Amino acid sequence: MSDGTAGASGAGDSLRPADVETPLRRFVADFAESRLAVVGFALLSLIVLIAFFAPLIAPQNPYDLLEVNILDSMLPPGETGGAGYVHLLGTDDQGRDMLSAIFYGMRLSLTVGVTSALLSMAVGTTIGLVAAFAGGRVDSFVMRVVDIQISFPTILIALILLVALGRGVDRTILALVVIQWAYYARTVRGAAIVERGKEYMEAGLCLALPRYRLLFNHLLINCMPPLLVVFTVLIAQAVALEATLSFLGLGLPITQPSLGLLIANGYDYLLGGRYWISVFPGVALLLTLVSVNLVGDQLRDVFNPRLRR
Amino acid sequence: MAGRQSSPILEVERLRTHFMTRAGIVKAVDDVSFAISAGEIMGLVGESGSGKSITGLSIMRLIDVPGRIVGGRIRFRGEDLAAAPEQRMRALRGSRIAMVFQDPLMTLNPLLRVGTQMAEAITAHNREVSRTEARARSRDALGRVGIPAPEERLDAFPHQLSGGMRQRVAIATAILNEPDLIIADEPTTALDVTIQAQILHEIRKLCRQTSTAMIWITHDFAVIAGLAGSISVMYAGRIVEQGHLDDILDRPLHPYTRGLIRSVPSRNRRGRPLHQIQGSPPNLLALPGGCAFRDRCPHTDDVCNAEPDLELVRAEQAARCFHPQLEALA
Amino acid sequence: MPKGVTKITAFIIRRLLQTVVVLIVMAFGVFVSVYAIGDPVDMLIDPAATEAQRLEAMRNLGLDRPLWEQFARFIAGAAQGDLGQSFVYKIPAIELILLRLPATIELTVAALILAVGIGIPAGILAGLYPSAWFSRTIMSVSILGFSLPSFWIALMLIMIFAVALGWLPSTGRGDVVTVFGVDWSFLTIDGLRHLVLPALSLSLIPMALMIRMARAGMREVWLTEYVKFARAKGLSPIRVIGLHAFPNTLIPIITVLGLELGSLLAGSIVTEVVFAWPGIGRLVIQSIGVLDRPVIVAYMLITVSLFILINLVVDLLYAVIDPRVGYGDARK
Repeated sequence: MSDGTAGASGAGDSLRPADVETPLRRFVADFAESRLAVVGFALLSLIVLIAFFAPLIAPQNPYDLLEVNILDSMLPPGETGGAGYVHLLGTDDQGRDMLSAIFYGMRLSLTVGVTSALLSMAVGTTIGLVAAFAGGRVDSFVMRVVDIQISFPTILIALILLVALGRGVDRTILALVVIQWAYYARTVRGAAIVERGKEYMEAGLCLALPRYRLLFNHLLINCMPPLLVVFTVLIAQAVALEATLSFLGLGLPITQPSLGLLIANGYDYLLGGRYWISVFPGVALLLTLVSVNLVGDQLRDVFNPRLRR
Repeated sequence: MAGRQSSPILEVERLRTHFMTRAGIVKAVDDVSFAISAGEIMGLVGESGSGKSITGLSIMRLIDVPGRIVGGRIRFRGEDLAAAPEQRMRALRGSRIAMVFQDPLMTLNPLLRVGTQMAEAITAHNREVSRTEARARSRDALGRVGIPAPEERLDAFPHQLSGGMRQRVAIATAILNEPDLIIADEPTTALDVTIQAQILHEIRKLCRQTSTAMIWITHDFAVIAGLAGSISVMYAGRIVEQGHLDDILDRPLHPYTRGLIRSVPSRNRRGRPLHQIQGSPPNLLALPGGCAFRDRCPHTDDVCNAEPDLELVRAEQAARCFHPQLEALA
Repeated sequence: MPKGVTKITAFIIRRLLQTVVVLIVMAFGVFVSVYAIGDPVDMLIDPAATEAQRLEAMRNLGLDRPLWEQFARFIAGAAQGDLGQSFVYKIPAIELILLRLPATIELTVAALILAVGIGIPAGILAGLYPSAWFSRTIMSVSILGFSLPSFWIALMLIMIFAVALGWLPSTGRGDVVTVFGVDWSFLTIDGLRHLVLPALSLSLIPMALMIRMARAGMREVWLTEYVKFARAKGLSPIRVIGLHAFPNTLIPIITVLGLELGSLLAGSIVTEVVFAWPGIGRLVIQSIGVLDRPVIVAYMLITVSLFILINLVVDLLYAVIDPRVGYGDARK
């Protein structure tokens, strides 16, 4: 299991402090083993930065009617609009600069994705820990619900909820949380049951440490690796699902165009050859999802001791 | 040491099997030579990771990428297996050379009946054999390895049999085509001691009856002690000592062999602490130059920074060591 | 043998009972949530209609009754196979769904065939030769299939094959042939051409999944001793792969396949909308747009029932493949 001795036999005599392998260094080194994952991480960082600073770096505020000129509608990429600057990615049917719309759309998509992933992690982790510690009937009931929930197609659950609740950022997030909590609950419960049996937990119980401290300081930290992997995967799932729902006209309202809604808006013009209104937001979505998944995949490999060579 | 009896059935010469991993080349088997005659049982002894299983798989030519046989010859009845085409190897596997593996719980396909898995070993090499005949031969083989009610066992699924039973099934499958050579990769390690003894007894009997040669791979001198005629001890992909079983048990030359033998519990040393070899097996990716056992050896000096060769120290007993220990074990 | 049969019968009965419970809970949930939304009368009648006409319309649709009574009538009807009448089409909702279902089934099955037929062999290849160039290509495709939402894939397929190359049509079912009173596209050349893009776009996600599972399963099984033992017996590679390695990777694959068939039924919503494929998915999205409640409810119930049925069949299939599976009280 531990590779601690592996390096020792070939190591030289002088171990400078800088050469000591800390868990973080080890993690970074393992992660960087895949060049693709590093590229994914760089791309993801860039996307997050763009989303965060969208209002500062976008050429225009696509929501501000004063900045958007309907006369500039459907300009192909590279044309100069009425405001005097080049629309690198063209404009849409209302004259909005696509580059700006994409920056703002990314911001919205990531916000929805990350918020719902965090919320479902909070809900799911709590339920999973409770199930693991309560055991017995509570545990089997919770896990039965989790099984049923996970086996149902996500889009069906989202459909039922959004039909009932209507469109909106908050409602979409709620629907995503309802869909995703179960994955966290199952992951945490599984990990917690394994960790619970380990010696440090028994030692903690013998020392009469308070239960909540055991739960949060010890258990949770040891459940972190699988949680982190699930977290990245589910962020990607949340972003993709939100885009799908918005594309179907069930997710975000028209006033708040995420990437999915931008793609849907452009869809009508796609067959007519005005590809840019749909394709560029599509590429942005693609890059976002692929980069999150690349990072998630590598995390899984790094944390999975079975795949270690 | 070879050539004492009739001409050997298998001669391995300077076999080298390497694994090209992302982290570097692992020389799992490096310059290994030995020979076995018909009816002889040779023990191949070493710690896990010493290359003994890879040696067995190399003879079967069952090395998968990233591993490859990069050098040497495997002469089986005069034919070099290292250079034989895959087609030829398939004809030899299971018919002239059979192999039995370590984990009794994993050695049979869980989805197929025992009878199916045995019969296919016959029909793969002889299409003319009818189903009933293959079944009858399978049943006989089960009987020969001491399985009661063999007819019923043929229709059983592996999970319905105990670990010992499954390992007997594997051995029965190996002897179905009366091979010239059986490679047994620690087949009794996972079994409890009484069953282990029974199986060892039956195997010895079978080899004597059919004059089948056998390579018995193990990490445990206690298992090999009553079984083998000759011994090759492997360490870090190389043979470090070679000779007759009795010679090696009484007067092991290499410090590593001595350590292995002294770590076996024994009646005449009762009450004394069991010996253990210091340190752990070396990382094959970062083998230091010179003697690979240097770091764990109590007799190391500057000479050991050079590479030792496997040299005859006594008649028919060779060791790869600059400081062979000549006195008998206490 | 008889003992095994009774065990399986008991298992089926237990699962069917569970199914009924899940269905009733689902029905209630769906009913309440669907009925919580806006007033369909607003959308169905002329905005200029008088109050009297409005009330008349509501009475005709049964919308003037309290919610519990509507639910009771709905359940009573549902038990007899009557899920109410579509507000829009003026025919029974269940009839409407059954009318559109063949198109969806056709699409789903075509997608599944593509996913299995391409995904599993590709996955096995990638598992047997993990470092070959084609394995890397296969895995990249699978990562893309995983990362991308199906509507995006659908748009790209339309962009490439319909708009840019003009090879294939992008909307509708094309020519159909009527067999046993049901229209099928796959029996005509034109219908097949219309089926290709929607089926391909729907299949990419399950195909990616099949590739991954077949590859991972193959790599894992290939290292087991029973595969080594089979090879050591001198069996042909085809027999080793086909009889010893591959069947042992099947159990997880079949589980996932069953779940995927359900997901495909639901996922076809997106594909049908993009390709204007006249199945139940497009129908439900249109019905949501006009608040045609009976159709929405009927869609949910039928989809969920199908889904649960598929899962039951999958559980039973285990026994055929794996002799170790028993049908005791506890499932492992």
